[in-house]
Amino acid sequence: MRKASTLFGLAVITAASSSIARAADAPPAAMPVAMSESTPPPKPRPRFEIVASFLPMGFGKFSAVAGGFPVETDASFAYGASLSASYRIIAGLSVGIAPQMIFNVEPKDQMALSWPQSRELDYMARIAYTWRFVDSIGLYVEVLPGWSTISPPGHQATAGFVIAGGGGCALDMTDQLFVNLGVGLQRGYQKVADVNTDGKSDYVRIAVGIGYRF
Amino acid sequence: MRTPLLTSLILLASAATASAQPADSAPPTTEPAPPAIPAPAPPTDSGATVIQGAGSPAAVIVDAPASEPASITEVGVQRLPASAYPEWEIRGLKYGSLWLTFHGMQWPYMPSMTDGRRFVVGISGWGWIDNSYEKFAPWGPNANIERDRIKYWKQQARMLLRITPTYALDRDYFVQGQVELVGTGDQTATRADVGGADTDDLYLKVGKWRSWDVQVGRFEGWEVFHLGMGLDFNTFERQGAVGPGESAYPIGYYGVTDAQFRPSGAVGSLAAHVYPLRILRFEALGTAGSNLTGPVYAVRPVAILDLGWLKLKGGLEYQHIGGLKATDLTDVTSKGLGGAIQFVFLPHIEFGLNGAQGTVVSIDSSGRLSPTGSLTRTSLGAFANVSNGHPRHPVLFGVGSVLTWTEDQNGIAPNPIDKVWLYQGYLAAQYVWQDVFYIKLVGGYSRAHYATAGQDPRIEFDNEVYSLRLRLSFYF
Repeated sequence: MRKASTLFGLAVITAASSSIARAADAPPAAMPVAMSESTPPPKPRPRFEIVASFLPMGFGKFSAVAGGFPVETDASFAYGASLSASYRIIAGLSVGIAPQMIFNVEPKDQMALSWPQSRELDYMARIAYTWRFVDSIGLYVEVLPGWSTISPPGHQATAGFVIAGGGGCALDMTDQLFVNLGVGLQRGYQKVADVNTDGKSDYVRIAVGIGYRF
Repeated sequence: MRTPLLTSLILLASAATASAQPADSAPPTTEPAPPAIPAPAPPTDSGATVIQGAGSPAAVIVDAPASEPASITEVGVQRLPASAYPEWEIRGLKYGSLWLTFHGMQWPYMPSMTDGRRFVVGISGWGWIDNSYEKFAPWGPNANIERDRIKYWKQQARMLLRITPTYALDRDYFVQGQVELVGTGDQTATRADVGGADTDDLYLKVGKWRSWDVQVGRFEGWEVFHLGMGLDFNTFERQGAVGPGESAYPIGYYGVTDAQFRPSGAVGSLAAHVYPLRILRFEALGTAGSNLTGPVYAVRPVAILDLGWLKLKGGLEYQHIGGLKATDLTDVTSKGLGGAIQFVFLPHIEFGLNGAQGTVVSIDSSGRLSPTGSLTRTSLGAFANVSNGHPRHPVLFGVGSVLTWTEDQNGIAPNPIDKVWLYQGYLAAQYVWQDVFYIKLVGGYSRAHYATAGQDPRIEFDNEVYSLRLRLSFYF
């Protein structure tokens, strides 16, 4: 009898425990189910995007030849703009182009290196990987290789390979509209073609952009 | 027989009780719940009359002994609830710089909701830790250039506990005090240094909620010039490109700020606030006392029109500092005015423009005009913040700039007056975790250009500074 009552007790305990477990596991309310019925599935994110960016370029270095000797000195704070177009080929990975123009490219101290205020034009490709840890927030890294020319007024232009890389964060304002903030490094290998001497710039590249997806 | 069954039933009952408590499965609330309304106190019977032996021929009327007052008085201590941070109109993007400003509204807002008297000690505060780096890079014919070639790592921290005892007479009238106790992480800072004070606010305030109040003590005047998510107090980007070699030049930004901030020394303020409409607010701030320089007095009226999405702010100020000794002829008079316009478009963007101009006429202790201390300062600024508006993972970007022109009265021919302009700009990114923990990264750039008097051509030189700062803040 005692054995039977113990078994009965255990059965009741088991039943109670399972009801506790079910109560804990159960969704708090039926609302998510209702929402899943009424909310349409999220639309796939468009693959094509364009971004217009303002580019503050700081912490720069400018290298050239002065009096026959190579000189590297601090560059003035420069500023520029970029227009990029990218296409997402697989999840997270995008490729595209990102030409940019930078103004006020010059040595900071003309006493150290005389070089006129110049304009730099960079024809860059863009390869980026974006990781979305939240639907409206994307963290990205990017590499931008390309070809660059620096055109000082009244002087021969310098040209050469340029590469930039960095990372940033993109915030979705709507499904299509977003803003981004990025930081990275840019290094130029521009040279004066005839005499094969430097006239190159390096910067910390900041990008403050607004973009749209199609 | 009985024991296992009873045990089973007890367990079953406990389980049913536990599963019936929804709090276990509900998500945690991030904002503190409003305080429970205290039950009205039961009527006391002290001194009541008692009839002994009622109904009998020997009934006697006696006074009951008066009961002792309670040896323990209940005092409410309350972490300030969300309702204490008023939002008569939209303050700004949630977690953004405008949202952290109260635009003149009375706060902490702690009325009695029961029309009865209520005494509550409100507790709130915030703390932050900054890790920052800056590097100066001066150039040009500057005699102090080597002193300016510096780079600097710095960690500084500040924790502030705000205690706000509030005695609400009813829903409308109140008496409120507030003290902000400050701990400073940078142990090289003394009390007299900027940011070294161990007390921020210390004031008393009496008034009627949403109508008027009078405030006296140590506190800040209402903000006019808004800087956005960067250029915080006591930071590198706030200081700008002013190296040790140029620290004598007072070229910092001006935003109707000579009499806005908490004064140092034995100086206090008295302010009257009037709220004729929910959208219209006025402050008349007066300051008087003596600091280390001498006796000081100031007045600073500010008006705010706040439509939520549009905010207009304007202010004037006048400040006079004299000499301590009777023979000291020091007379420094500052005047200024400024205004701001701000827009808020929830939930994604807010931005604003600011402008201010102030003059200083400085007479030294011997009664002569100080040409380098007499200044005209003009500042223009703009800021913009964007947010993803995400309820659980809010991220904000901020950008801002301030440009300040300063001219003194250093009248040395052939080029009289020194002219300096100072640019200060920043980019900021912020993530807020669990509503209370703010992680903010700010990159700053500043450049100062000096054109000094007395030479032909002028001696002109520059300084610039890059800075990076990670601020971790805890608001409670």
